[in-house]
Amino acid sequence: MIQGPSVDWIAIAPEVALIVGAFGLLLLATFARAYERGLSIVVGLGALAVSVAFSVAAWGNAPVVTMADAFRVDDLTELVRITVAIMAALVILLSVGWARFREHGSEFTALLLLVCAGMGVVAGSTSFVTLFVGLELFSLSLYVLCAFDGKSRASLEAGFKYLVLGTIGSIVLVYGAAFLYGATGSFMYGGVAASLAEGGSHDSIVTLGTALVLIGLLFKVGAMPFHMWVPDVYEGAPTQVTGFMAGATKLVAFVALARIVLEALPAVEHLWSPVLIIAAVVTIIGGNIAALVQTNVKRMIAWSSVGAAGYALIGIIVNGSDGLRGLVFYLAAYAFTAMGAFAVIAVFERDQVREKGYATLDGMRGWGFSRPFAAMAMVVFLLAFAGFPPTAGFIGKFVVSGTAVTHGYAYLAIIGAIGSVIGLGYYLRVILSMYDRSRKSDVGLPASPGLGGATLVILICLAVVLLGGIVPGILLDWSGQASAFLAVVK
Amino acid sequence: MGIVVFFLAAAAAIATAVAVVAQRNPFVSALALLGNLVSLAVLMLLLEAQFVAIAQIIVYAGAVMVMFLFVIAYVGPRGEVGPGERKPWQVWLAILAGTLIAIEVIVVTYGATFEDWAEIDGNYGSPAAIGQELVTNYLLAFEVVSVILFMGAVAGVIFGTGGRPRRLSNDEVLAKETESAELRRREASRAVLDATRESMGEGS
Repeated sequence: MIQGPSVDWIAIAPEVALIVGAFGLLLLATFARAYERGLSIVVGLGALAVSVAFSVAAWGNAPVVTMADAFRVDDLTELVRITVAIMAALVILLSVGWARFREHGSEFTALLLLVCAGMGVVAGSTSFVTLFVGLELFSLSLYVLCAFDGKSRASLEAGFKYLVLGTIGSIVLVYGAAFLYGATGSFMYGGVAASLAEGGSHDSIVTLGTALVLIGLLFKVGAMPFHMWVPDVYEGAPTQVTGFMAGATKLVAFVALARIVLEALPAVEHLWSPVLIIAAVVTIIGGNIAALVQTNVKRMIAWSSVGAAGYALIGIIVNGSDGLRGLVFYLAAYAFTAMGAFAVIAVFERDQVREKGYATLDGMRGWGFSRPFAAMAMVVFLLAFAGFPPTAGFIGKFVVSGTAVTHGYAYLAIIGAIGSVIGLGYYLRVILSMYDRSRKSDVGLPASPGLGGATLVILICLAVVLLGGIVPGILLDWSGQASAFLAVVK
Repeated sequence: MGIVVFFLAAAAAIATAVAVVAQRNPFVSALALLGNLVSLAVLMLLLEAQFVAIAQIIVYAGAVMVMFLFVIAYVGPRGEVGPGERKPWQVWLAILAGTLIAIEVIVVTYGATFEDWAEIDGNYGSPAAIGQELVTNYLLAFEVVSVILFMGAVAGVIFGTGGRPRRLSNDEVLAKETESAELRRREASRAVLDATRESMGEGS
């Protein structure tokens, strides 16, 4: 009789709730086709709420390692779980009025729940094996969600491009993990770190493994020069899915990157630190310059999110407790900003659905007068992207840059500031276009179906972005508490 | 003996891998891939990984390849790449990048010194040992992979079915029946008309 490993069910309850929710929803929807949309909303939000409740209840507890040491539940895992689940709930709210949601609502919601479960697994991974299966679970589901708008060629193209390029990223990551396993004899982060600390004779293999793992992860976070999938995928995917990717996927990928370089590879910091510094510089400058010439607003924000990955990298490079706190805070705040901005674009697209209009700078001319609330919210989100007070984006960039200066990376802070100034150039173009008086129409747009959900999403994001900027204390404390579990502190 | 088999299988693996990308005919490519998978299985046998070798043949060479051939047969020649669609600089760039990676891997593995070989016992790589690992040390990964497979099935349903067949309401059924009855009536009258024309043509 084989003795299975002990399973701490409470610790993995959030993922179990999501997976059970996904399976249960598909089963229920089969027997109650007529109520599919309502069922999807209720079961989807219900499963997410249960998952969040378990995470909140475990917040602040001592870390738990379970399932043969393959999964670690600490406050960082909880923070990621909670943020991701809230993002998913916002996606469901944004999808309420979507025609495709009416046809395939149960599948869409089930896949979304599986994405969240996969992200939880990635956030709590303690070994390359757990990381990879979690990564594949959420990536594969996301590929499908990107291509979900089956009637739109752009959506299918986005899903396909994401599938091919994302798979290359995963393969490179696994290849690197295999080399590290060959050099250290362990898939566990702790085992790899211990073996590297002793010093081995396989230096060149360690170098190759580290390089490949870094490439794979930089691919996932969308940092230059591995960013090429970001603009096309963000532009083509259904807008609420784009918002989810910009927020949740980035957070999870960065937590995975931070866990690997700080928990598995601290002994070879001389290898990964210069790589990340160069990537950060190139990403901040390149992403922002490329965004400057875009005329499609979705694509513009995609490029700016490439630039945002550069700021987050600074948090990992600095690697002190302050740096990591800044990283976690910046990413969490960014998630809500991005989701809010894409929610506004979704509202715009719904207004234009008859003309098949895209959210181009030209198309948005004068739109701010027709939908004053959404446009005002967009202004706040864009200022948060650029790092203006009193938004959470300002605090995030401030903390990240400030720690860079105090830890001797002042040049990174300067580059970040230059990037922000470039960023202002294109964010202002969007604002000017929305409030272009020459195209002002006096006719208010009628409320279209499903906009209630979008308004709620915009309100929630607006509240988080503003509260995070005005009273950042609580959120900073939470981020600090979570990032304290990212092992090594210089 | 082992080293001879290794080089034979390695050469076959490389040759068939090149054939997969070099062949224009998708059928030949698929068959070359089959050869590639089998030669890899031989290499795995040499590494004492019996289970992986057999699983490779059953799952990939068996099930997956059959599905590939099925799809190729179904899609037919439409899937072929026309000569104009390949840009020469892309080919050269791909060859350059591939060569660079190959050189890197060779330099790294050649320069490495393997001093402390891992000791393995006879049970290593057997189905029993792998099964035990799956339900003990890698239980989480095992369970997550099962969810991934389920997710793949859901994705297949979404893209495979397109729109879901809708049950027609009574009115719609009635409308369809009237429409087809109308069609039948028109066809019958046309046939009568044609017959009349023919007979008139004969008469004149």
